[in-house]
Amino acid sequence: MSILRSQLSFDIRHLPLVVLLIMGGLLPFLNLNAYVLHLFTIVAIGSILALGLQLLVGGAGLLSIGQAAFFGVGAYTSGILTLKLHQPFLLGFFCAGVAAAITSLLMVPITRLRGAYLAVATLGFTLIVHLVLKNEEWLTGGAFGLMNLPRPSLFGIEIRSATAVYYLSFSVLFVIVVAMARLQNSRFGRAINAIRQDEVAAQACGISLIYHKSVCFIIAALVSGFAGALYAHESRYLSPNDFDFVKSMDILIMIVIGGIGSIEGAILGAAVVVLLPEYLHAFSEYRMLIYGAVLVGSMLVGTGGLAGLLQRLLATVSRAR
Amino acid sequence: MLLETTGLERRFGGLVAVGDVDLEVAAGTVHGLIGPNGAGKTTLLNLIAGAIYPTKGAIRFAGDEITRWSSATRGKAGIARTFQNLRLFTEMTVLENVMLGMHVRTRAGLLGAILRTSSQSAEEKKIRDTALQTLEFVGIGEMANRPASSLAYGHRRLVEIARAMAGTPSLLLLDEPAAGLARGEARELIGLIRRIRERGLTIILVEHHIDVVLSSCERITVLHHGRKLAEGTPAEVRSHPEVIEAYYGSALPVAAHV
Repeated sequence: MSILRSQLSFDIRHLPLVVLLIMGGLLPFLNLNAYVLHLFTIVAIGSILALGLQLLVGGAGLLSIGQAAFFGVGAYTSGILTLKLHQPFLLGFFCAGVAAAITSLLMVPITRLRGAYLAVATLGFTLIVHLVLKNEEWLTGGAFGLMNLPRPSLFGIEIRSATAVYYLSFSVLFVIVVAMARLQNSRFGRAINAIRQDEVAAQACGISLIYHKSVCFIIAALVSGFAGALYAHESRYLSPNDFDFVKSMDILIMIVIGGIGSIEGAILGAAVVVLLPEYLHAFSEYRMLIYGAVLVGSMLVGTGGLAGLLQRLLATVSRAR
Repeated sequence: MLLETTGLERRFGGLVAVGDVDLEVAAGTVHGLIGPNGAGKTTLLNLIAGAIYPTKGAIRFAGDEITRWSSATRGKAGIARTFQNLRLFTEMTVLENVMLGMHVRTRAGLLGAILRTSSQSAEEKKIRDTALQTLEFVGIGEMANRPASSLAYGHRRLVEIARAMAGTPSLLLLDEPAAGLARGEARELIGLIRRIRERGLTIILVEHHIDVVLSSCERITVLHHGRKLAEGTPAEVRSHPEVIEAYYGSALPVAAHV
């Protein structure tokens, strides 16, 4: 009986994520207009970025506000490869991830830092990448950015419709969700959780801090690079200001609102951060004021964010049954 | 000798926490480290575990010079430890804590986890099974799925021992495992240490609880002000005049317990 119940509650805890993914898969059937679908594509891309940071913050306890840098490296890599070198989208996509991952090797020396020190170091990294994107005109187009990027294409077939572009981003998100969920529940996932909870005890278990922290940075960067490529060919215009530290803060806000350490939290948080300011457009200049108030308010609700709220709700419901 | 330290010294500023300690621990034995508070027992244990590094001297383990090895590398080489102030992963279950002890004996990487290869699944099962067996060995198998933070103090100590043992180390460092235990629990601990030893593990035991030390160890090293004061069998150490002097001035305090 107790085994039965533990399996039941195990299923219930996965319910929010499963529901979210099904909703995401069925979204285009709602006959949304192209603009709304474009917004949800941005939500999917934001979710990928948030999942990368979730591994760092929620997994290994590494507070990074430098994810926009890797997002930018990925976006520009794919943009330059496809626009200037006329390479296919798929090659640009993979190179974007790899380039971001390689760039993240620069972070290895700072993995020994913790907390606020690490956060400031990663912030500095964002500032540097932003400056490079803005000033290396020969490569990045400088402040004007890169214009008229090609649409994404698969094996020579151009992806034109908003629905297809959405599904492209959603598929990538889906694969990353599955990968992250499996990682969480593995030897590697346990090791980084151990590091987050107690570095001394983790080392005594034979877990190397530098290796595991570096790998987390590399995976987070790889994933952000992929997100960058998707973004480049979705918006088809890149400006350095899309990749400044404000973007890094946005990604951090996503996982905090959604719930640190939770996969569905990353997606919910991305939805709030992308959609809420859009929705608040009706309030014109009060928009950011209301957005700020929502941020403060959601922090007062308690730790665990939206995902935590959902899990508590589910636990109450399943207990009541 | 499984473990050998020669001229080991660790200074903290001007303070010599451990000075010129030669320690020899034979394989398969339980070796006690005792001494008054501040004698340097835990510092010596931390030096052997690699949590801190010596300012002088050398450590050899199983034929290798490990003086500069990181604690993670020493863990892989077969040195495991428990902590005086418990360091469990409190957000995890008891079982997950012990599964982490298996980290050093397993190898599944990122790709295996993401692709769920059959070898990864088999290894996960092995990790789970061994962790459960180890919990049963220390006597708390039925608590496997409880959050580590929900356990009583004495049981948390057992989880730490299980976590340290799960990776089948050859040398187990126990830092005051009886601290805070009730009399009955301490007796059970003595039995557990005996059973661990029967598995062929070598144990270094830092302990204040003199019953536990005298009934578990075949050799005891007495530290005082960071230096080795005496060494020998329990009987030799108990009658050593300097040990008696260092502890209470005259009468041996342990007499009351034994």
